[in-house]
Amino acid sequence: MFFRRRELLLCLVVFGCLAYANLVLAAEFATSCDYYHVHRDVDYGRWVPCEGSAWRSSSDPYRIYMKGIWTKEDADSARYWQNQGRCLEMQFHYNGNSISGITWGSNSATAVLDYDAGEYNVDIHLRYWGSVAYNSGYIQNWVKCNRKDIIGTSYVRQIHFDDSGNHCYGQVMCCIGAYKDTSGKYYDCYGEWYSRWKNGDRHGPYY
Amino acid sequence: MFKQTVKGLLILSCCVFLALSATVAWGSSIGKKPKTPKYRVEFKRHLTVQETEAFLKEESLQPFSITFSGKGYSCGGLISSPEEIENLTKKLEEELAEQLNEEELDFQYKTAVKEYLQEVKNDGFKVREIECLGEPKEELKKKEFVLRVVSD
Repeated sequence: MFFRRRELLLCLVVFGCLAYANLVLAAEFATSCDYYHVHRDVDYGRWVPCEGSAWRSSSDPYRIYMKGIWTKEDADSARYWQNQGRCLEMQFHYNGNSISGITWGSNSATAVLDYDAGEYNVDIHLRYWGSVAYNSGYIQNWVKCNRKDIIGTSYVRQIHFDDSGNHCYGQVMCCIGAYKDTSGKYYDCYGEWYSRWKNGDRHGPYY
Repeated sequence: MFKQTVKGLLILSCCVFLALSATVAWGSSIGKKPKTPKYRVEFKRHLTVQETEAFLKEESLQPFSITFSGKGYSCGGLISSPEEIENLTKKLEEELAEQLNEEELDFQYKTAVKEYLQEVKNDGFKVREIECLGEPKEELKKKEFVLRVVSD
């Protein structure tokens, strides 16, 4: 006999354990950054600009705006997040990968652009540091590029980093606004998001 | 017969195990797209456009984007060479001025834009940071006006 029944069972158990361990380790790796997760009872959706809107300029179809209510508490919280290795962002989405000529502006004194080309949906991130728009009461950004087919979903997102400063995962805190494109088609923010009214808690490494 | 069954089971187990490993490896790579390496150079003080151009040329850096900031407002754009900064500032000035005529923008926002435009007209655009393509050189951090260099 090639194997006895006991050995066969042992063999299967070993394989089973290995497969299980592999899955568990992979899952652990994938969610190892969750200790940075913002839990709902700490600052879940409370101190982010959850109210706002996104719209296309009436005079220039290539320019879109995004506005989010911003309070002193938001600024304090953003500073706390920054100290914790998290960045607060607002994003503009474009339906395509060949945009160029991007210009942008913000009523925050310390917003910066973060843009990665070559993605089907290109994000433009505006990060805020320190005394972000401290006295403005809201944050208002505009972005302009060479395309009119901006899908323009805009929301506040936190980017989480691990202890080494590597990107860990992003987490939508709340939806700022959706958008109608030039043909009038309505686009909502994709996926789920936090809001100060919704009782949700989104985990996960990527989405 | 039994030997063949056991062998078959063993092969099947191996296949399942390998398939699981491959699935997990594939799953954990989702969302990790290869990106062009970029880094940001933040300045201790605001640099003038001329200073920034000189810095980029001197260090042979390949700029990707630039961020200007002033009191209560910031703006910027994509650039691919130091020579493009001047044109970008002109474009930004026009775009900021255009916003003053937009009906949907409120008074508070327009005031911030107006004040920033005035500042820019008086003192020129001030550079807060630049983003460059490639890997950062160690010497950059030693520059007296460089606050930090952050890789993307």
